[in-house]
Order: sequence, then C-alpha cells, then structure tokens
Amino acid sequence: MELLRVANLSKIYGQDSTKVVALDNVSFTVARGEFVAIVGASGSGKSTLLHLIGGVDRPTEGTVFLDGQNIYSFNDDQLAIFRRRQVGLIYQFYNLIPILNVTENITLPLDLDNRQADPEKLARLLARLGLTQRQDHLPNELSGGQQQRVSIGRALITEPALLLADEPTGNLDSAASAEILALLRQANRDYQQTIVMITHDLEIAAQADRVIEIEDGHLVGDVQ
Amino acid sequence: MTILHKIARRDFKLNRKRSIGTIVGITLSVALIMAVATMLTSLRQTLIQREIDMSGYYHIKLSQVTPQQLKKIRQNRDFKQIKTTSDLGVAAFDHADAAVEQSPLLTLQSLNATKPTASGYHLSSGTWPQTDQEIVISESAMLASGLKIGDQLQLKIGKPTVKKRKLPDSDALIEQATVVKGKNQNFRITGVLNADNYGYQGLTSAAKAKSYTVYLALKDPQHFRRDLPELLGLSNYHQVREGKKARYRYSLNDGLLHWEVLQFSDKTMLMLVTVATIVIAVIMLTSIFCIRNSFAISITEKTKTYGMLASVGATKKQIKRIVLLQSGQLGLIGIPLGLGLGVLASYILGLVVNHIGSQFLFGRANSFQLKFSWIGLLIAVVLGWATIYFSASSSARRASKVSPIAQIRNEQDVKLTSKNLRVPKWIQRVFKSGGVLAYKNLRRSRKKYRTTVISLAVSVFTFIAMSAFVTAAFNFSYQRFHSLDFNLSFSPNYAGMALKSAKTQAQIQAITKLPDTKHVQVMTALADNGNLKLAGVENHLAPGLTARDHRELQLLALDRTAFRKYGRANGLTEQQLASGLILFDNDTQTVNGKQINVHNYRYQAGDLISGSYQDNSSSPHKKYQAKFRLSGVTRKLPDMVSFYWTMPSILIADQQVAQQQLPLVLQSIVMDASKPEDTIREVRKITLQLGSWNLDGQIREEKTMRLLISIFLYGFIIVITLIGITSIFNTITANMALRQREFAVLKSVGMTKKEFDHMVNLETLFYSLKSLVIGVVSGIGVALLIYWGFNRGQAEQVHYQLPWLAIGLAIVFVFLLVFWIMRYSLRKFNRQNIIETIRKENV
Ligand SMILES: Nc1ncnc2c1ncn2[C@@H]1O[C@H](COP(=O)(O)OP(=O)(O)OP(=O)(O)O)[C@@H](O)[C@H]1O
Ligand SMILES: [Mg+2]
Repeated sequence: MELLRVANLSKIYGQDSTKVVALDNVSFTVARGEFVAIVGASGSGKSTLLHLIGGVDRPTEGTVFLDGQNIYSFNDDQLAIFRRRQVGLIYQFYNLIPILNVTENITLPLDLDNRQADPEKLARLLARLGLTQRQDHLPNELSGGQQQRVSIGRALITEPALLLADEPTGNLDSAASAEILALLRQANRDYQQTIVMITHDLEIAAQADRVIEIEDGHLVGDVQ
Repeated sequence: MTILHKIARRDFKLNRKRSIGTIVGITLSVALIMAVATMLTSLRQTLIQREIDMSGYYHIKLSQVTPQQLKKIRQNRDFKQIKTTSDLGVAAFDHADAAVEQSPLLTLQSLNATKPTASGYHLSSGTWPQTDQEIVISESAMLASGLKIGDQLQLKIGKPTVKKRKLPDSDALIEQATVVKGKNQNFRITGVLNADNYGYQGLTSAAKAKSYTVYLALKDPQHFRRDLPELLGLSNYHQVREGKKARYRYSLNDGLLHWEVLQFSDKTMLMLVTVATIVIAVIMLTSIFCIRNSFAISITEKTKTYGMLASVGATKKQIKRIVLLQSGQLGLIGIPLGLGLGVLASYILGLVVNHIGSQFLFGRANSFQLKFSWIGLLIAVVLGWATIYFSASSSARRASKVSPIAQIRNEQDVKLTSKNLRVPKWIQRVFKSGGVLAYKNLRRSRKKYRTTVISLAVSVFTFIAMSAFVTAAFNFSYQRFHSLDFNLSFSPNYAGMALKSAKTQAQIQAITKLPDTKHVQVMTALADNGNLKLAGVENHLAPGLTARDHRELQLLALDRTAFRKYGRANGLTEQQLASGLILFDNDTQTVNGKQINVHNYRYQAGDLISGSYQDNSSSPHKKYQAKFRLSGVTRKLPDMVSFYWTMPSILIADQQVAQQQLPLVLQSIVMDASKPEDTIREVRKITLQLGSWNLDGQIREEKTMRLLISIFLYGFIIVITLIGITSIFNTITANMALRQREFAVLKSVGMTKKEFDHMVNLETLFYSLKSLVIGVVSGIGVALLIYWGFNRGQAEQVHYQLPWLAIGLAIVFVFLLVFWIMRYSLRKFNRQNIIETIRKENV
C-alpha cells in the first residue's frame, strides 16, 4: 500500500550564473513498511530530495504526498505539525538542540505537541538506543554515534509514518555504523517502520528492500 | 513548565555572556531615560521650592480684600491654601534722610497667625513680632530711621494724603504723600525684614484689620487659566494678563507658575520644546536601537537552534513564543536594573550638585531635591518593553521566514554571492592573504556586516549630535552671561537726581570715594529719558531711512575717564575724544536671509552735530540747544550702557562736555567692588534713593550653573557613549562568535595568527570607515537641527560650530574600539581548541 508519493519534484538553487538544478522532475512511490535506500554521487541531489520529502524545504516544482495528502498544500504551521507528527528526520550532522539533554532532545517533538512521553515507552526506547546511562547528558558530552542515536530516538519517539535518514552513518566508524543500521532495521522489521535512507555505502544499501539511484538530480535506477 | 519555557530558560543560562551583553544594553538605555526624567523632574521640583522659598507659596495675591470678600473666598473649593495678612494702613515715621524725595510712608501689615514665610517674607536678622506691640521693618526703613533692633519706633498710622487729597493705601509710594490725620502708635523693633520690594514695609502682629492681603494657592495649578479668571470675575486668562479691572486687586506669582505649570514666554517655550524634542528623540532612538540591536544579534546566533526546532515540528508561533520568553527574561532583569541605575545616578548627581553649591542656585536654605518621576518610569518601562517586544518579534518573524533547512545552515544572514571578485592589489600587498580573505568575506556577505556597521554608525551619530548639543547649550548660556567690568550697579529708584544739584554731586563724590571699589563709572542721561532732536539729519541718513524715524537720538553721558576709556577701546584718538561725543551706530538688516550689520547714519568723525532737547519734567517745559563735534562712530556699546539699553543708535557723550549745554540726571553708577555687600550698605548710608543691583551673586550663580550644566551634559554624553560602546561590543563579538566555525576551519587548514591579524585589520578599517562616513554626516545634520532649535524664537543667535572635536574623537575612538573588540574576540577564539569549536557547531 502506498505511503509516499514523490510527484515531479524539482528544486533549483540560485539564479542565472549560479543556478543549480539540484533535482529535476523526480517521481516515485514508497509503500508502507518499505526500507528504501537512496544512493548517488556526491552533489547528485540526495539530501535535497530527502529535505523535500521531510518538509523542511520547499520545492521549486512538483510536490510530495504522504498518506494521500499533498504536504506542500499546507501552510507553514500545518507543515510544522506535519513534521512533528508524521516524519522523523535524521541528519548526517545530528542537529540536536545543544541546550537540551538526551531525554529532552528525544521528547522534543512530543513536548512541542504538548504531549507527554509514556515513561515506559521512553525507557524502552532509551534502552534500545543504549542511552539509558546517558539520558541526562548534554549533546556535546556525547560521542558522534551516541549523538546520532539520540537523533534516531527523536525521530522514533512520535512513531512517525515515515523515517528519513540522511547518511546516518556517514560520520561513524564501522562498528557504530552497524549499530545504527541495526537499530533502523529493527524498527523496520518489528514496527513496520517505513524508512527512506540516504547512503554512500553500497553494502548498507544492499540491506534495504529497494535501492533508488540518483544522478545529477535525475532518478536513474530503482532496484528491488 | 512547558518545553518552550525550558528552552528559553536554559538558553539564557547557557549563553550567559550574550545575555549579559543584552541586559547591559537594556539597562543603560532604560537608565538613561530614567535619569534624564528624574533629573528634569527634580530640577523642576527644586525650582518650585526655590520660588516658594523666595516669594511664598501662592499663585495669586489679592490686595485690600474686605472681610466679606474673604469669607466668600474661603468658600471657594479651588484653593489648596489660603493665607492672609491684614492691612493696617500706611504710616509716617521719623525719617533720617528727610531730603529724599521718596514718600516716607511705610506700609503696615499684620501677620494673621500665618507663617510669614508663606507670604514670601524673610527676616535678615532678629525675630518675628509676637504681639501688636512688636514690629519688624524692611532694611531700607531701618536705615532711613537710623534705628536698631530693640529700639522703639513711633508710627503715625492713617491714610496717605497728597495735597489734602486722600489716596488709597496702595498709593503710599507716591512722592510727597504724607499722613495728615493719624493715630500714633509705638512699637518695639524685633527684626529686620529682608524685603525685596520697593518702599518701606512693616510687619506686626495685630488682631484687628480693615482689609486683607490674601495669598491663594490653587489646588490644581494646571487649571490656573480657568480658575483665576473665575476668581477675579474676568472672562478669560488673557484679561487677567492684561490687568483688566477685576473684582480684586491682584498680582500673580509668575515665578511659581512658570515651573509648576511649565508656562513660559512663547519664545522660551518654543526653544525649550524644540531642543527637548530633538534631544529626547535622539535618546529614544539610540536606546531603541541599542536594545533592538542586542536582540537582533542574539537571535541571529540562535537561528540554527530555531531551525532545528522547526525541523522537528515547532510551529512559528512556538518559536516566536520562545523568542519572546527569552526577551521577557532579559527585560525582566534589564528594565528594573535600568530604573534603579537611573535613579541612583540622579541621586549621585544630586549629591554632587548640593556639594558644589546649590545655595547659589536654588536660594538660601534650599538644596537640590530629588524627585522621583513617575512619568519617566512609565516612559522608560513602556519604551523598554515595547522596544524589546517589537525587536524580538520582528527578529523572530525574520527568522521564521526561511525554511528550516536554510536556518540550520544559517543561510539567511549569509546571502553569499559567488560572483567573481577581483581583489584589489593594494589589499593583497598591505593585508596579505588574511586581507584577501577578509575582503572576500566583506564583499560576498554584506548583509552579515550590516548590523555591525549600522550599530557603529548610530553610536558615532549620537555622539556627534549630542556633543553638538552640549556645545550649543554652552554657547547659549555663555551668551546670557556677559563678562562685565563691574559687579555692582546703582540706579535711582525715582527720577530726579539732577546732576547740577549740589546734593547729587556730593553723593556721587562720596560714592566714588568708597573703599574697596575699583573702576567706578558714572552714567548720566537727559532728564525724563529724553532724546536729542537732531537738526539737519536728513542729509546724514543711510539710503531708505526717513528722517521722521531717526531724528531723535537717545543721549547718555559717561564720566570723563569712562568716556575716554570707551573711546580709546574703539580706536579713537585723544584728540578726537576731546570734542566729547561718540555716535554708537550698529543696526542689523536681513539681506537674502542673512543678517548683516549696517549704519543708520552717515555721520563721520569731525561732523558737527547740533540738536535740541525739551525737558518735559520741568514746568514750564524748558528748551535747550546743543552743539557737538563728533569724535567718532562705534559699533559697540560700553558695558554699563548695554547692561541697561539696547538700541541700534545712541549718542554717548563726555559728561563734562554735555553738562555745559544740557540738563543731565544720574542714570547709574557701576563699580567693581571687592566686598559688594559692604559697599551696598555704605551707599545706603549716603543715599536711599539709589537701588542696588548686586551682580556678584549672579555671576557666581552663573558660574555654578555652568559647572552643573557641564556635569549634567557630560554625564549624559558618557552614558550615551557607554550605550554606544555596549551596542558595538555586542554586535562585533556576536559577529565574531558566529564566524567561529569558519575561523576554526581556516585555522585547521593552516592560517597563521599573523594572517588572522591581517584579516582583522582590514575588517577594522572597513567597519570604521564605512560607519564613520554615515555617522559623521548624519551627526552633522542633527547638530544643525539642534542649533536651529536653540535659535528658534531667540533674538540672540547661537552660531553654528562644526563639532570638530567630537568628530575627531569619534574617528580615533571608533578605530581603537573596533580594533580592540575584534582582537579581543579573536584572542578568545584562539584559546579554543579547533576541533572543539567545529564539533560544537555540529551537534
Ligand atoms: N543551499 C544551496 N544553495 C545552492 N546550491 C545548493 C544548495 N544546497 C545544495 N545545493 C546544490 O544542489 C546540489 C545537490 O545538493 P545535495 O546536498 O542534495 O547533494 P547530495 O546528493 O546530498 O550530496 P552529498 O552526498 O555530498 O551530501 C549540489 O550540486 C549542491 O551544490
Ligand atoms: Mg547530502
């Protein structure tokens, strides 16, 4: 069953001499529960695509449907609420709030929604992320892998329809990478979490249900 | 506590330094407004108190009020205080100086259990009368009678009468008035009244009265324009001013009304309002700008955080909420601190003022009174909050305009253009590779530097404008304060001290010989303020002038020494001066909007001037003819003349020459006395006909006033400068902090310290030059505006001076300050670990 539909998505940065077509008329769909990897050379437009799917940027043309809803028909506030409830975004650089500790960073989307995190669920999540010992630490007291696990926690806490990850392991060594990947796979397997993940690593991509390849802003490959 | 509160609170704590910078900015701005308001309110209160001390607490004084009328007045609810003294009539007493042509009558009043000071009476020595047997009399009466405290004084109390015609009591001052039929009564003198008014006065404490003098203080002085006409039975305040015939005889206490109601002559008011408006506008703008700036910066610094919040689903409203909460916290600390600081500064200033000598300024027992300004508080709080609110929400709005991802990348303030740049050769040569980097930085991300340049420019602008204000304020007060060559002036209270009278001659002689005096100068004039009617003036007039308007000229005469000194000072020779007549001739004309000095007459040295004079004070009117050869024409008046007269043309004669042809009367005697008080006493012993004017006190008062104004104004400049510095400091350090990562990267790829220095040097040059150009130009503009304000409605114009000193200071100061702050930030950065910095930015 279709969860995500990317429809004729284009993104152009800059004007005239500095104009860059980062995405050029990209369309595809993702079914619920799918684990999709996006691969491509550096600068091919992967991050741009992911940001557009996640609603943190606005496309030049085309749109994105999630659960049948055109997310770019939303106004800014609706879009914010969409981000808060429907997507979990994981960046290559973790983008945590430096002034909030681990637990607070993780529960931030719920807090913004004035919802309380279920303590049991939170504890389970922290345990799954291996952060139980670290729950009161500030981000700058954590290692890169730990920070990335916090951002995964933040993405999972709302049980979003769609989990987006931009090279979540790009900054980590192989052991830490394997850990993160295991976490994502577990979420996908145990909770039927739909995941769209960017990666450079073909080995990691091989573990996905499906690999989409992008080149110069075009979709050039889609392998099951 | 919601997550929003938590974020706001945490952020405030973790970014303590930036928070403190912002708080300092708010505090100083609020303090400045508060201090200015407090000082103004206090000054006004002090001046009100001074007026009350000097003339008593009343707004209107009614004379000769009957008991019935008084009853009615007492029922009037408009009055806060009603004080009365009873009129006991006028009285004759034994006069030592019987030859004085002044009426020897004394106006006798009785205190009605009223505190005498409430009616503006003061004792210079002794005690107040307690019974109807005791009396205090004015200083002049004391001297006239030759009595001392404790002596008995016999008064003949009755009605003033001239040539058998009875007059109202108020006419006791009329010459030759006497009391024909009266009741003799004896009093013991208990004190000396320090009365400034003319005429002899006595104050006793009797129960009975035929009529009253009533001192009325209004409940609501702001409405005096409504209340006074009502009281007097007139239709409007204009009629009150005109002295129309009213229900009562009255006089207004203008001194008190000035300050209580802030009503001045239209011209003074216009000047005050204009200058105050400009200055307050500058203060407010600076304060608002400083606060706004602090916020804009701290919000720029947090953009990334806001972006992250937005990317996990924080709505605009929520982000705005966080910004406002953070601002609120800063305001909550900064505003009360500012209020306190402002009041404290005023308090200290008050102490300083009192220490320097408020007695010269605010009257005898009066000191500078600190009065809290509620309006100031309100303005400071409202303005502070409003500025914080609007600058915070506008920054938040700006922040939320861009997409979360752009915020995370900190894009909106760094609108980079990758245009091709050719770096000028000289930059490469002088500033090396660091300079090249800086240059690219400055050219490619202009917006990022705009805040810094603007904040510098505003500080420069304010500094220059306010310095100009201070200079103009000084010039203004200097112009009021002439440096005269005398400190004491005497002039007859009544006309008629004819020079040819032997008695006048003797008195002048005696005064000239008084000890402890220098430069005694005597000025005489034609009797009855008469003019000399010039013959054949038609042939000696400037084109366009009619003889009708310029035929008559005032003639004043100086004693020979003074005349010669004046002549020599204006370039005339002894030979020329021998003929004994100088024409002062200096009029102004406006030509093409510019004022120029012109002569009205075409007379030249050596011309024969003849004229006639008719003495209207003699009966029958005597006519005199006079003929002089002109010694010369001048453009400046002698000080002693200009002290009394300002006319475009005046004849100044040598007294000895003029005396032979014209009847002269004493006009004034001036001198430089080393013990002015003593000299006044001595002169009183010689004659009571001369009123004294002691400029010594005035000179001292002006000097103290100037000192105070300078303390006040320079304090003001210092605070404004501090605000500017805070604002500059906040902007530059924030800007540098924002570039930490960039620096760390540069450092990590091997940029040396020296190259960083080059970079900083070029940026310093850029910021300073750009902001100085903007700041100096606009500063000069507002300086012009301030001069214009001072000159509005003023006869004497303050001349515009370019604020060179301020400009010079600003230039030096800006360069040093920017350089120092940049270095400071760089040093702080240099101490940090490269990777730490990069990492910190990457969480
Ligand atoms: N804010 C921007 N302004 C201008 N051009 C941009 C901007 N962001 C990205 N680009 C350009 O868009 C193109 C795609 O960028 P994007 O970040 O999507 O690439 P990517 O596939 O994620 O690369 P990488 O694997 O290196 O992360 C690039 O050529 C980049 O130069
Ligand atoms: Mg990328």
